[in-house]
Amino acid sequence: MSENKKPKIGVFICHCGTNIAGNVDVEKLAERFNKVEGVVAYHTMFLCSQIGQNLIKDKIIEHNLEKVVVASCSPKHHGEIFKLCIGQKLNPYMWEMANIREQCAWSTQNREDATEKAKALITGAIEKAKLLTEIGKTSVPVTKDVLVIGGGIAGMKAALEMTDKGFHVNLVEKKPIIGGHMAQLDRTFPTDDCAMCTISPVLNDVGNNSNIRLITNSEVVEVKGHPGEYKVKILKKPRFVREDKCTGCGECAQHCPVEVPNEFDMNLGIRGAIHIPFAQGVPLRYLIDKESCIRCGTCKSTCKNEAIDYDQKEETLELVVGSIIVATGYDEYNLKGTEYRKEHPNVISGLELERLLSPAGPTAGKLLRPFDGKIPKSVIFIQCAGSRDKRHRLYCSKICCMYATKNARLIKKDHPETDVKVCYIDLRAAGRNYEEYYDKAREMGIKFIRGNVSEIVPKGENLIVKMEDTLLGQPVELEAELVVLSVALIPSEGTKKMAEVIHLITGPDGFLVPVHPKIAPVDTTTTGIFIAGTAEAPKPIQESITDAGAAASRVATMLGKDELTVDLTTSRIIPDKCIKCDECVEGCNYDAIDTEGETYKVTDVSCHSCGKCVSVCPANAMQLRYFTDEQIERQVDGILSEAPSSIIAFACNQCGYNAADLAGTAKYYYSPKVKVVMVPCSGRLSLNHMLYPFEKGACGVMIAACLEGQCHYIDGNIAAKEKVALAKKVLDLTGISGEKLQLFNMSSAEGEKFAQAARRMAEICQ
Amino acid sequence: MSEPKVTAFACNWCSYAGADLAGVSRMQYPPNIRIIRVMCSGRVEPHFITDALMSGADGVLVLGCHPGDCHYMGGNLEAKRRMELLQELFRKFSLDDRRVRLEWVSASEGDKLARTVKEFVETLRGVSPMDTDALGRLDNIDRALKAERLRIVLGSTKRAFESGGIEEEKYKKEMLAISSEEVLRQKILKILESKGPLSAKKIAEAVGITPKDSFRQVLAMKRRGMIEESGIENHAPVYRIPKK
Repeated sequence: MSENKKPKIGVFICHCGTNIAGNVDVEKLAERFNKVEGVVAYHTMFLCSQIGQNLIKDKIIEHNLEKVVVASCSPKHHGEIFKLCIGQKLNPYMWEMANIREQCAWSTQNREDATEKAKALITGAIEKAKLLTEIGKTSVPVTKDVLVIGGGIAGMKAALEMTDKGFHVNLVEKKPIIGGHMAQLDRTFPTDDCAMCTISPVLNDVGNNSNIRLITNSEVVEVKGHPGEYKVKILKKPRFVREDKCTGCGECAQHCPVEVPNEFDMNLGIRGAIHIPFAQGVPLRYLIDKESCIRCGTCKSTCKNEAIDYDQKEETLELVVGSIIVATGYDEYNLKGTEYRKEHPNVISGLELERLLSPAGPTAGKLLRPFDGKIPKSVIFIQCAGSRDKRHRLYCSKICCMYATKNARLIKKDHPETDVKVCYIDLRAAGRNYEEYYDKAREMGIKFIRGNVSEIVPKGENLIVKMEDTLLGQPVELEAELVVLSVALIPSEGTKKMAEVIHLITGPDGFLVPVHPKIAPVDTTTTGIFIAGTAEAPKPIQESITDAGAAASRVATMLGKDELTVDLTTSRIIPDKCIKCDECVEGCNYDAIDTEGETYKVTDVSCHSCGKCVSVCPANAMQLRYFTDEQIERQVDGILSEAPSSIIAFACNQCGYNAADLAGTAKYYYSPKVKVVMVPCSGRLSLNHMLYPFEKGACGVMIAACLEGQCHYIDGNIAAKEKVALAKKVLDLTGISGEKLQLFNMSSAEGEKFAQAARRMAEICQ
Repeated sequence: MSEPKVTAFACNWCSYAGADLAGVSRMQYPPNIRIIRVMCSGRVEPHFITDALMSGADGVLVLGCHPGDCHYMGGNLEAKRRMELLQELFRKFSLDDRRVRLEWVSASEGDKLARTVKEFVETLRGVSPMDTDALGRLDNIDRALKAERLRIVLGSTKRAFESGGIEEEKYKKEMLAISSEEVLRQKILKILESKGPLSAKKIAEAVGITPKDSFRQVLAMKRRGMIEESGIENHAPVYRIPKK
């Protein structure tokens, strides 16, 4: 490269107040990089501020800069800001970020070490920047139809919101009727209004809306395609009652001789084989539960409309939609057989109590305990049953404090003579009017006892609750005629299934994970797919409805345009080199390789830019545009040229990199020898990437990947694991110990694990 | 013991003609039998049988055409299923199932009729008489057989099997379960009739089931309008039979 053609690179180093400058000598760095050929360097207090952004833009013009390196916080933090800022003057991909805050200033104890590390990281970024090329955009038309999965309150509200915005919605519900758990509730906090009174207008609005195609008793079994055009397969289970003929008169159910527990009543009530879960069900179309039906034919001979069809078969429906909202909700955690719930009919769950209190429930709203149908004279609510408990679920289920308080109040109001106690660990009444609601409960004479329940022991028809009163500091034993467990909320079966079918990410708790819990709470990592309600986490009704509005709005933003534009950070195939061996086709989890034409092509809107195809291509015929082999290698070169005996840490963009950031944020110090190189996915790494740093003098290589089973690209980390095993053997053969290459699996939330892994690498590579 | 009294239901086409033939052929058989002519053994509802027993018969014979010979296609098979169920119910509620018997007698089997009657009368001589308790149990079965739910199940056997939607064994199992439950409900109704409104727990004590099962029956019977709540006593709702 001749002198005058050297790329002109601007390096901008941020003080971030004292966050960076406190531990990194930014002035010295700027001075140092100003001496580098083809580089101009600046430092400023807050690069993300308007002043900082203007500095970058002004200097691009002044020096006719071609590339920019921003040395500041994590790209996860302010990356988008800089992309927008630089994008005003250059192609928005003509810059690279050196993370000298989370992964340097905050994670390194010594100022001198941190400054040296920052120097290496910036040099790595400069080297990568030299090879950056402009990245364009492509666009595809979008289908305006929407799919909402789940007909609970979140799904229904999202569907209605979408139709208000002028879209056509397909609402798929697994159960025969919509309404979800909310339809099972008696009253709701903190207003004590009847749940059915609130929800039944919504049920009817959905049922009567000509822009909603309601597909009940059905499950989504396959989602293919790409954002803007998802091809969805739905399995519609037979009702054995023709929806077009049933009028919902209920004559059939009156004569059905079968009696089985009604699931809608939490098995406390009774239904026939032909039934509708509850009287106001929408759609008001009966169905036959084939398991319990004895085929006596009574319903068929009773039905004047000839709606009964025992031979109905399941159907597969196919839809094309532009966007999907997943609102698949929660289930109650099953505590049967645990220390909370040994076989005793007088221990019930929160939802079971709701059915007992509901006027439409099996006891017509009378609180009658299951043991003998008596009105209990003493009721104990046990909070955090399965929540905040290492033996069960670690998290707080959020709604239980309030719904238990609500039910305690309702019982006390109807039966003032009944002794009502609530045993809690912490009473969490955070929400508008919640604290007042709780205060009123105390005034009404409900006793709140703070303490951990250790065991619930049957005593004849009653129960003894053994616990430690943590305010008195002594063990107590309380007798109750009825015990109500405020059971942990877990992701529903449907939520788990949809995560698999649509390839959505779940946390360790099994709930769906949004792109960002704060700034993108309803977005998923897959473009065009959004979450609403308790599929994301336990939350009260009002928050589920807020989610529904937010998700609908996000969908409208996407589908409101005629085309969907995506950045071409995707993989591309070099046709001359491609040998059509199909390795990439098999490796790709998104059907993004188009093999139809004369040459293989990547379908850009389907490509998730993980780069797995690149690492499996034997012919070097693939490249990932923003993470080319050469870019990765030059970045490693840059780091090692400044700090020869470094440990290169390839961190996946989804988990490992976030964990490294979190290690810094939490101030878990680790050896400055460890220097992170971001890759989109550990599956992007080829065998060569793992060995290359050793050739260039690195003393170790670590790979920080997602937990197994939680790869954001499904199985990139498994592919990496296989390659690491092979690379270790190669290292052993060449005399470098295979020990010096290690793969660590961690979630985004495991900052400490990253720091520990980094420390372990430093020990191995001493 | 006095002479056993036998009621026999004989189908018009085979068994009744068989009985005629026995007479025409001057075959002797015990005079304890009173034959009631029905068009088909499938016409015999199980509560005809319990009715007869409650009205003083010591045993009931149901006589029909041989399988395959029914003049109404399969009425005799229907009769067979009902008889089997009735005998199972007898065993379940500690009644002697030898009191009821089904036999196939064709129009040409005068001898078989005579032999059957002889044997049956001999059998009945060995059956101990029913005490008040046993009669009470029989009455429960009788009432259950007349209740709508069981009549639906009993009346649908043929339709159910022919649909192919359920296996015969499974249907029979379900039918027995439903019958037993209906007998229990009749017992509950009788207790409510005699002892006035009772709570689920009191019902449990009176009929000898667990309070939980009693509560379940109460909910189910309320659902079918067989009982209603009449008030609260000692912290528990009490139930009675609705006034018609």
